[in-house]
Amino acid sequence: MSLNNDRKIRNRIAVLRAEWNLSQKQLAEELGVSRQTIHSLEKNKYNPSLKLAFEISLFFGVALQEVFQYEEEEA
Amino acid sequence: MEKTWIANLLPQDEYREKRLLYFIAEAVFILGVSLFLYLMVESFIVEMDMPGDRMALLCIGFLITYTTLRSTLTGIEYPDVASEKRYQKEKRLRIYSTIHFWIIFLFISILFKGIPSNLEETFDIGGSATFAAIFFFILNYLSLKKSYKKNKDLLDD
Repeated sequence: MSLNNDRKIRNRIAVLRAEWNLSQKQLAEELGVSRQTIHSLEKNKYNPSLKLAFEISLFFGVALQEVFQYEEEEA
Repeated sequence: MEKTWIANLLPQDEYREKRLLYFIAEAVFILGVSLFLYLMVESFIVEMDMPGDRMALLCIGFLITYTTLRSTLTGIEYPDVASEKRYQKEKRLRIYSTIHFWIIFLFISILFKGIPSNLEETFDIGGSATFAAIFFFILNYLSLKKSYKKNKDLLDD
């Protein structure tokens, strides 16, 4: 069995950040990462480490699945 | 990041760390293919007899240059420089670090070559240090400018 390459990890970081009224810079500072990291995550250009994923969900106080979704890639 | 000694030499930010690891891997791959081709040419086509020290210098030079240029042109070296004020501050810091670099380069050159005894030797040591410092500054400046532009484009608020 191999990893399904048709499925991508998407996230709701931009939505949650907007709900919390935070800028990318503020969120980056809270998580101890660079703003480029947050930007790349929001644009789905980068998959975070499991540790950072947990840190993000812990920060927003929601379950991991509420931040990250494993979805079929759009055609 | 897994526990490995190389982690101490990489950026703390995981996005930058991963990008840098990719650039290093690209450099190693290209170098590996190039060395393989060299070996084939050397063994079956024509003997080039490149001295070992020159070959080692070329390999090290390629690894450093490729990785530095890739990270410079990608604009990942200054991830938090997004305002004009911060950009100007970093630019000043780059000038100071270039001066430090020039002094250290000069000091090391004198350490290895000895104190220059005539004008020619002075120009040789001073010129090399100045040339290296200019190169160091241009590379840093380009990287800063590229990072600033990239970060400005990312501005969300």
